[in-house]
Amino acid sequence: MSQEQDAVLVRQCLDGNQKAFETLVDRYQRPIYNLALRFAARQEDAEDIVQTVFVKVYEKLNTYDPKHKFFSWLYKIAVNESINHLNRRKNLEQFQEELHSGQIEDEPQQDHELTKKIDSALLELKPDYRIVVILNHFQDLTYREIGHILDIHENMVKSRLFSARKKLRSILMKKGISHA
Amino acid sequence: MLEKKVLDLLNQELDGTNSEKERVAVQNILQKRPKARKYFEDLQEISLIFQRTKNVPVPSHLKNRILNALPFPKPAAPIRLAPARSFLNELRTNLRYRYTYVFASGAVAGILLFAVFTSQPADSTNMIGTMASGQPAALAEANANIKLSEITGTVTARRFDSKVVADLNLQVPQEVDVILNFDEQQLRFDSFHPVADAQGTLVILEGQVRLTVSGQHQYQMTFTGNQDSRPPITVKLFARGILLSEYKLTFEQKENH
Repeated sequence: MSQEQDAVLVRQCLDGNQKAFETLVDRYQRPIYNLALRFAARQEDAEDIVQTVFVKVYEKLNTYDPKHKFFSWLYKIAVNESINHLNRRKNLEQFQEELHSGQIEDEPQQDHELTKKIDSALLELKPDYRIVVILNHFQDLTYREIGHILDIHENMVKSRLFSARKKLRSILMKKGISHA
Repeated sequence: MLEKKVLDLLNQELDGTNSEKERVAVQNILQKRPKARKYFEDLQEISLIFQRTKNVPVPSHLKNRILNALPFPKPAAPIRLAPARSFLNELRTNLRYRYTYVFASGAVAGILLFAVFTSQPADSTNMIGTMASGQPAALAEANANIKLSEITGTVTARRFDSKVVADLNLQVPQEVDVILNFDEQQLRFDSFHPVADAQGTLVILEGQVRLTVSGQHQYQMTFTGNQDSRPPITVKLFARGILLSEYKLTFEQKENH
């Protein structure tokens, strides 16, 4: 997925080529879905977020500046939409209860129980800290890329990431979560 | 309690961003300080836990859900061409329109008679009606012949002083988008004239005109431009969002005899 290829696809989309936009969806739906799922901890919400993100991308495509990486611009929209979604969602404590009681259904996944515990642990972090963990650990983005997406300095990214890991360390120990 | 500097080095080691000098320092710390070693092992544990649940497969229906939610075509409101017959039907059935039609016809006839008797020369920039009755020579012209498996036709663009006239003559068995792209700094879309009962949907954007057509039809579009410039016009044909063909109309000076 090169930046040049993305820029060409964007140009084709703006010329009216819908197939080009489908190619962009094929390329980026998985990482955006994973990001949304980590943030929302629920498949249905993650799908809503992803749909909204791509519709917004489509509508705002003529505002994209090819000087910057397309995926950075896309992730920015995805992060904002994830945060907006969180703000619209019901009370966090109630949601946590539902998550633990099993009322919220998840698709069968590898290490299903572990995933639920990780999602629960991530939810205990403040959104600003949660998002840097998700972008670094689940999207493999560098400090610089994360800083560009969140419009913060690299040092701030490191500070939040390292603090988040420190907190996660004690959360995971309390919940008895381990790799073994 | 580990110092912030040590914690930073351990985190950066996990992320692989330490310099060579810092890596050596970390190895030293890990050898000499058990608490630092434990902290680093916990960081690695966190990373491994996340790795195990990293890539969740996308639900198979998600792509269709996204595509069905897209607002296609893009923003500007389309201009729909009403078939000429519906107006004629109105004349036959609606008395109010008949009186209006008679009055309007009389007014038009009067204006035409006035124009004839006062011998006003035809404006060389008014293209309507000049096609059949002897038109001024174009200063420059560009042509494209379309010969695809199911789509044939011609696109001709002619330059007259500050006007550009594009004539499209198309035969398409299915719905096709014809997109004209041009430099909006040098050309501005002016008017659109379907010939006879040609139908279609027109969308006008800055630097772009999109015409959706099917069947065999002729259309004429006029643009206004700077007198000295001859910007090219790109014509693209799309079917169901797939680019079929592209043509670049580059004006060539016509010789005046």
